[in-house]
Amino acid sequence: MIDNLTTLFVTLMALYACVRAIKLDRRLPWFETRSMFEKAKAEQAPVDNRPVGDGTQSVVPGRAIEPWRGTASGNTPYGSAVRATDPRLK
Amino acid sequence: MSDIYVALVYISFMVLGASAPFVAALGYVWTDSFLPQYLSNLVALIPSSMAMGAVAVVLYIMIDRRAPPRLTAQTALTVCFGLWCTATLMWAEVPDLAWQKWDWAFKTVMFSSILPLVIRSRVQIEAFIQVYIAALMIHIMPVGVKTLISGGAYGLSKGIIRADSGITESSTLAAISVGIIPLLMYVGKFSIIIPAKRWRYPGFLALTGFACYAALGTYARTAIFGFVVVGIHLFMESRRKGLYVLGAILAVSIVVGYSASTWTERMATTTDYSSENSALGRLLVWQWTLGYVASHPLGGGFTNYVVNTITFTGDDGAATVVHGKAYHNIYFEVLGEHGYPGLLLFLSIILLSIKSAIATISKSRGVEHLVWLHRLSRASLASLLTILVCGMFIGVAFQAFLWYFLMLPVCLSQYLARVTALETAELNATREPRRANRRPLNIRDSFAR
Repeated sequence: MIDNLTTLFVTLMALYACVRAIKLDRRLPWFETRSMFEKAKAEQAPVDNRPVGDGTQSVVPGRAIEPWRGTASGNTPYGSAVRATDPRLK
Repeated sequence: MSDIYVALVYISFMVLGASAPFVAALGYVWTDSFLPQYLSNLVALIPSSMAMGAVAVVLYIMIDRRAPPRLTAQTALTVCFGLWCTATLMWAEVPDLAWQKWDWAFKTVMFSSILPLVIRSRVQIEAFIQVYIAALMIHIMPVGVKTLISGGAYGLSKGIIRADSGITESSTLAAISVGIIPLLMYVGKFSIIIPAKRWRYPGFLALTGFACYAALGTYARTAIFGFVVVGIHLFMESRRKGLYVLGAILAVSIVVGYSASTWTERMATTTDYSSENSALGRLLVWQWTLGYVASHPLGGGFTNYVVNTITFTGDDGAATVVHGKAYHNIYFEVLGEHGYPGLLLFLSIILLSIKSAIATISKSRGVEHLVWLHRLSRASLASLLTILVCGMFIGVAFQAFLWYFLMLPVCLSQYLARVTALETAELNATREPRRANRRPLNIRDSFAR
């Protein structure tokens, strides 16, 4: 019983980590520099202060990050912004 | 049923690896530590590690050579060490046994050397840690849970794989259980792969608890030394040091007070090396090793300890003769098997790993966007030191976990090197336009004249 449950738990944990890593590795910057971090931080502040539904911010979580998804270089700009705005990463 | 399930998980790594090659490398790490061939007869039909390793290398070469790191001294020395270990087969004392050990040891050393090539980004580094933790937990968690329910015992195999060799050996399991605690704590706090839901930190804390129980449940004295190193690391990490010390004293009191008398009696023999058979035997085999390498400076090849004969007076006062006493120490293991050149290479790899971890820690200290790197470097250094200290009492010089812990600081230092290079390039790019703006102006001026 304990052995079977452990097998189930640890294998699912490993596969979940892999699937999530594949998704995030395509979306987040491979190597986040200071300028990316600071730019994202600066952009994040006014975005977060806007009330949802006032027409300036998307009510759909994660929509704001769509334009930067799947950048071929892998060094997606605004990586921290993605992390900050995507509720699944919080 | 579990046969098919484990085989499907094994195949999943290959399928996922086709879309993201680093997952195939993680698949090799998982196969090497999870040991699915012992849990599934279907996986046992093929050489599972070799198949996964081949897929990982082929996929990397074919489709994943993006942002390759520069060749480090660490990688070069690791390759040299693997080649030197192969060379010692030529003068091996026991060729048959030497080839058997070489078969898995060479694979481990060489695969660890390509890890920094494959594991590059933050997500990949964390995925490597998570998959590795998950793979190790198959051995640790059942022991931890069963110890929690019914208590532990020395020499009693409670793991999912009922064997007393490799990672499932009690002392080795104790060392690795303690060694992954800093990484478990790091992932619990800083993971980006697992969303920061309420259960993440308590979940990893529970896994840490199971790891502690597993280490205690094996009755291995090696764990005590590991706990000391991890305790120092956690003390340095803690913000409220006074509270931490009180908590540590309380935890030790509970463990000593509520553990079985057999456990405390066994732990009490840790320093009693003159009369206790196991400890005395180790001292004598280390002495034998020094004498052996004096006459065989190039070592005696893998598993050469089987030729030794140790004689000592046992607990009962009678002379005890032991043939083929194992090294029980990673440094003496490498010295005896691969001589002074092997030991020199091995120590160089260890020192370079420690050096790169310390350099990453100091360079990322106080840097806002590299907080995670700073904390992970500290955790990886603590894990490495734990295994190196525990390795003074167990012969695990060629076990995969040691080599993964040796290579993790290299992956982290390479990450830092690339970020630094990108930042320098950005800085140069911001300077260039100013120069470029100046030049046309000068040209126009010169035309005007």
